[in-house]
Amino acid sequence: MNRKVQTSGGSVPRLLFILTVAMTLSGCGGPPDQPGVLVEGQRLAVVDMHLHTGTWEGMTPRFHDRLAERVPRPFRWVMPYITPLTLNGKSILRELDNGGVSAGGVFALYSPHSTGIASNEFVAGEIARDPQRLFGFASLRADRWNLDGPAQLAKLEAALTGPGKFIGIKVAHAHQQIRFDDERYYGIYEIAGRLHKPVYLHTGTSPNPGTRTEPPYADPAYLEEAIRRYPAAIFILGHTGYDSFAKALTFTDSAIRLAKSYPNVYLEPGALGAKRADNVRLDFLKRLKTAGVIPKMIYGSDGPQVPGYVKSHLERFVAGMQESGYSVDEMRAILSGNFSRVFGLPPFTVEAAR
Amino acid sequence: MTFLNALRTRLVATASIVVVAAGCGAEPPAPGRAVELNMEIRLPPGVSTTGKVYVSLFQAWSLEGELRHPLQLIENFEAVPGTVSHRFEYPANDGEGLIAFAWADLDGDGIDCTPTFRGDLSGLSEVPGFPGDRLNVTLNLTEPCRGPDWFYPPAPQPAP
Repeated sequence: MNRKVQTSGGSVPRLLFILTVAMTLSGCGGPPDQPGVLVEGQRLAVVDMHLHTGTWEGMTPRFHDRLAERVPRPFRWVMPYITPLTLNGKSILRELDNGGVSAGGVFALYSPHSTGIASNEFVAGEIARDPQRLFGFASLRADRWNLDGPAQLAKLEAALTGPGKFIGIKVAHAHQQIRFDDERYYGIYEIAGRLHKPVYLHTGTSPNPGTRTEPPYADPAYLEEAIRRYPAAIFILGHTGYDSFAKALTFTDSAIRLAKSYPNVYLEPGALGAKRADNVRLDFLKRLKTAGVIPKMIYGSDGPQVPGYVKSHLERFVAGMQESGYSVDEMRAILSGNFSRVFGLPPFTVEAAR
Repeated sequence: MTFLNALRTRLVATASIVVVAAGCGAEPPAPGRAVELNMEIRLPPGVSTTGKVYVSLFQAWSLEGELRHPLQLIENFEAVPGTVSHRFEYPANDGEGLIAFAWADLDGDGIDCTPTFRGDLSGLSEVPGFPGDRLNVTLNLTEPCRGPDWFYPPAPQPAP
C-alpha cells in the first residue's frame, strides 16, 4: 500500500507559505555576469552531464522521507509542492544559469527500490524546454528482467532512436539492485555500442535509502568483463567509484584503473564537489592527475538536489582543481571539452553561451 | 507604500508559518507483523564451508502502480548452513509475500564473489504460507555469483 503525504486543515496559510517559499526559491542567487568559470584570466565553458528531474509522485515513500529530512518536521508537508519547483526542466535551466553552466545532461531513472522513477517520456518532455542546452539520457526498468528483459531493451532502443533528444543511456546498478557482473544485462551495452550512445553507470555507493553498497553493485571492477566484451560501447563510470555512503574513495582506484586500461572507459565526478565530499575531494583530484586520466574525466554534479547546488558543486570542484595544480587546458577538457568529444557535439564556448 | 506592502507580506508569511508549525506533528509508524521463520539452508553435496551464510529477507512485491516492484529488502542477517530460526517484523501496509535469499561465503571474504573468485553459492525461495506467524522454508544454495533478482520473479515456464 503506497503511503500518502499526510495533510491536515489550514489551506490558506499553507498556500501563503508555499507561495513564500516558491518566491524565495525563484529569487535565490542570480545568474553570474558571464557564463562559464574564470580561471587564470580565461573564462571556461561548463557542461554538467549529471542532472536529475522527476516528480513527487514518481518518488518512493522512503525517498520522500529522506528529502523531508532536509526540512524541519513541522514544514515537511510542503515537500510535494516544493520538490517540482526544484526538479523540472525550467528549474534545471535556472540552476544552470545560476551556475554559469552552458548545458546539462538530464537522466531518466527507473529505481523503484530506492529513489523512484523519472520515465524516458517524462525526461523527453522536460529537455524539450531547451533542446540546445538539455540533453537526455534514457534508461530502463531492470526489476522484472526474467519477465520482460527483451521488452525493456526494445523500449530503450525505441527511446534512443525516437524523437526525444537522448544522447546516452543511464543505468544505476546499486539503485536498481542488479550486479555489475550479471551478463543478462549485457544487452544494454550491445545497444550502446551499436547506436553510439555512451552509457553512464552509477558506480560507488549512495546515501539514498534502498541502495546496495556491496562490491558487486558498487565496485566497477565487476564491469571489466562487459567493458572487454563490448569495445564499441563507451562506459562512463559515474562518481568514479566514490563511496558516498561511507564518504570514502573505496572504489575510486578501480574506476581509474579501468579508465587507464580501456579506451572505451570514461569517468564522471558527480557529488565529489558536494560539501559532503570535502574530506576526499583533494585526494580524489590528486589520484586522477597522478594516473593521467584527465582526458577521460567528464564533469557532472548530480544536481540539482537543492537550489544553488549546481553552482556550489562547480565552485568547489574548480577550486579543488586549482589547489591540485590542474592546468587551464586540463580544466577546460574536464569541464566541457571531453563531453563534446565523447558525445560528438560541437565545442561549447562562453561566447555561444552569452 | 512599498514598505508597507513588504511588511504585510512578511507578517502574513510569518504568521502562516507559525500557524502551520503549530498544527503539524509526526505520525508514529504502523506496527509490523511479528514472524518466526524457520529455515533449512543447504549446500550441494560435497560442498562445505567454514564461512558464514548471509541471509536477506524481502517483500515479494512492494508499493503500487508504476512503483510496484519485487524484492524490497526487509532485513539482512548472518547464519550458518543447517537449521536456522529467525524472528523479524514484516513491515505493515507496505507489501505482499515473503522471499528468503542467501549466499554462502565459501572463501570467507565477506563478498558474494569477486572478479577473480567465482565460487560463492546462492539460492532463493518464496516462503510458502505467508502471511503467517510461524513459517518454514528450505533454501538450496546452488548458483554461483547470483543476486536475488536472478531468481525472482522467475521466468515463465515453457508449456510442456
